[in-house]
Amino acid sequence: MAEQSFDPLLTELRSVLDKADPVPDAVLAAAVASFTWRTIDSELAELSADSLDALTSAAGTRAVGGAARLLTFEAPGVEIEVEVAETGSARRLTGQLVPPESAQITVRWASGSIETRADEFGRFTVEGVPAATVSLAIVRPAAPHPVVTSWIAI
Amino acid sequence: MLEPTTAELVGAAGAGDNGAWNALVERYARLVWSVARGFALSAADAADVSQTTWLRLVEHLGRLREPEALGGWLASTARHECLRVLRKSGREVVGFDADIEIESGEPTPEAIILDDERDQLLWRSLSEISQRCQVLLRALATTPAPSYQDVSAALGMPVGSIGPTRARCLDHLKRRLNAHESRQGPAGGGA
Repeated sequence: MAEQSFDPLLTELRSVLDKADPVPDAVLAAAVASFTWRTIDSELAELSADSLDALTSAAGTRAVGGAARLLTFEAPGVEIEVEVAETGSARRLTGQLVPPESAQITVRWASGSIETRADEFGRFTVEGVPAATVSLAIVRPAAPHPVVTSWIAI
Repeated sequence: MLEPTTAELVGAAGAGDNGAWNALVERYARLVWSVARGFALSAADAADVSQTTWLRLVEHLGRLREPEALGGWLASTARHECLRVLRKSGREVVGFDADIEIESGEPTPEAIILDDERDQLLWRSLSEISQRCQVLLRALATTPAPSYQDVSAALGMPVGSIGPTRARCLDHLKRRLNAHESRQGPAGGGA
């Protein structure tokens, strides 16, 4: 962009950063590999609420320890509420579909996945999810398309 | 041959073109990384932020309102993820809005691989200026050079304040660097 005038210090900084803090190869490879998660026939349920975002920075340091994190994802016609609890290094997801209905649930992350079912009341629990960037795929018997949630680091 | 525009690459990737996706990663991976590292995240946390940001883009390829402004979208997504990581660990961004300079004692391990003395001092000086200045200067130093719109998204600041903030941050960096250099004496001195 034209507004950026040349500054020799910035040029020097660029060279230092290229040497001292380049994007690691594994990070580039993960970014490239993300494309394999492209879905063409799924509805996206976007993150509409995250209890972490509600914390003000002043309250943040107090509220963090131990409290479960609440996430809400919304797609047309369905809402997915997920409570994330830390169980050692893993996570336990306790979820609720609104409106309630049974469904097949898959928790997916870069290197694996776990399948479970939501019962007729739309409730589900998944244990042993790694602390990673995950997404849930929800297949409801009556719905024409699967719903996938936005990716989120838990 | 003309380089494809970002909007063209977004369109092609959205239609399933793997090569277009790789070109987007090539174009913007450094910007995303610079935001995460500018917020002083560890390499592991920065890797997570980067992955979450790119996965978010995969799901949003066909939904971006302004595909040409992808750099800003990625920078803003990365910034939000950084703030989540910091909140999750009970950390705060100290003085992000107040431009508070950081008193850093230990040089970071990365300094070891810089054999040029001035490079080392510059690297160290970067870690001592305010968090906001670190994000801004790291973002501005990426190639290809980001637009001010991209940088404003990385910082959550209005575009109009990027120019003046850039000048102030470069000034802070210069002052730290000069202070270190005068302490060390002239280059090659002491021999």
